[in-house]
Amino acid sequence: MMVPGRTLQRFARFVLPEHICDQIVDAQLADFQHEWAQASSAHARALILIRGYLAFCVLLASCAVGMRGVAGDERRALRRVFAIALVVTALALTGVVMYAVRYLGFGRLPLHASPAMLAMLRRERLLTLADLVNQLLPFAVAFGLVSGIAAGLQRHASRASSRVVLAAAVISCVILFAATNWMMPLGIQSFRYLRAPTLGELGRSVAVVEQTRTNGPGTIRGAQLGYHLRWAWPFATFALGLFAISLKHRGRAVRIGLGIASCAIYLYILRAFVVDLVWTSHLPPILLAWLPNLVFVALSIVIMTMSRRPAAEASLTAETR
Amino acid sequence: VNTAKTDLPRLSATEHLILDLLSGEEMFGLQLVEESNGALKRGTVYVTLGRMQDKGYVESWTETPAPEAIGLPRRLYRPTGYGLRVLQAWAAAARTMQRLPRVRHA
Repeated sequence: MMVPGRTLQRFARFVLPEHICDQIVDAQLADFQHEWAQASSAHARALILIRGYLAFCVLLASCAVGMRGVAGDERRALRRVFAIALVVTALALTGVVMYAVRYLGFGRLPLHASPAMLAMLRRERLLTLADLVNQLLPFAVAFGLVSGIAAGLQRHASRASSRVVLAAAVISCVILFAATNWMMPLGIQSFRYLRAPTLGELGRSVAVVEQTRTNGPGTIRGAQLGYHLRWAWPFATFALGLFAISLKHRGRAVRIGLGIASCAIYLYILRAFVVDLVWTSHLPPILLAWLPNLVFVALSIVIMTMSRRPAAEASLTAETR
Repeated sequence: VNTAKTDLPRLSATEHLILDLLSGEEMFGLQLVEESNGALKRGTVYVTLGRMQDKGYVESWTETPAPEAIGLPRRLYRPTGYGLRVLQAWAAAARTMQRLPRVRHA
C-alpha cells in the first residue's frame, strides 16, 4: 500500500536541519500515516489526508519562523532579513500605487461629472488598482526578500539559516500562488469587477481561444503564455531568493548590487525576451513562461557549486596549518 | 532580582496542558491532540513537544514497529522527573498567587 507523506518527508529533509526532521517532522508524519492507515472509509482517508497536509504546512512554517536549529546571532540576522523584506515589499507596493495614482491617471476624475458617475469611476479605478497590486505582488515580495537577504543575512551564513530563508521563500510562493490566482481575483470579482479572472477562468478562456482559432496562432500562443505566467510568476520569489542566498559568501555591497541587478534582469528577460519570443519563435509558451525562473535557479546552482569549492579548500588549508 | 532575565524554568499554558496530559501515561502526539479536546492542534503540538524536549520537560523515543505496520515508526512522549517537578512547582505557585489578597487603589 502506498503511504502518504514520503514526498513531504523528503521535502522537509531538504529545507530543515536533520535533527529537527528526526525529532519533530517524522513524529508528525508517522502519526499522520498511522491515522491514515487506520481509517475505515475512503471519505475518512480523504479527510485525514487534507488535515495531515495542512498540519504539515503549519509545522513547516512553525519550524521555519521559529528558526529551530539556528544559533542566536544568526537568529537575529534572520529576523533582520524578514524585517527588511517586509519593509521593502511594503515600500515597493506603495511606490507602485503612488505612481499609478500620480502618472497613470488614477487620481484624475472628470470635473463636471455627476456624483453618481464620480462614485462609479472611483470604485472602478480602485478595483483596477487592486488588480494591478495583485499582479505586481509576487514581484514586490521577491524584490523584498532579495533585499532582505542581501542587506540582512550574515556573510558566510550557515546552511541552517539558508534553509530557513529558503523555506520562507517556498511558503511565500505557495501563499502568493493561492492569493494572486484565487483569493484576490475572487475578492475583486465580488465587487462586480470582472476583469480580474481566477486561474481556472483564465484556463477556460484560453481553451476557448484554442478551440475557435479565429485570431491566428500568435494570439493563441499569447493567451497560453498569459496562463502559464500566472503559474510561474509567484515562483519568482523562490528563484530570486535562491539566487540571493547563493551570493551569501560575497560582501554586503556586492550582494545588494547583484540582488537589485538580478531583479532588473528578471524583469528584462520577461519583458524583452519572453514576450518577444512568443511571437517570433516556436518554443512552447510553458517553457517561455518559466524561462526567467529557470535561468535564475540554474545560475544559483552554478554559483553555489563554484563557491563550495573555495570554501572546502580554505578549510583544508586551515586544517593543515 | 529581575525574574525575567534569570534562568527560571518557564511553563506556557500549552506546555502546562501537555505535561498535565502526559502525567497520567505516555502518549503519541496525535493522542495528545485528541485528549485535549481541541486545545492542542496537530500542526503545532509537535513543535511544542520538541521545544519541551529541548528544555528537558519531556523525553521521547520511537516505538518498535510491528511487523505488519506501515509507514514511519511513531514517537512516544512521557514527562521527565524534572518536567513533573516544574509542573508541581508551577501549580504550587499558582495556588499561592490565588491566595494573595487583592489590593484596590483608591
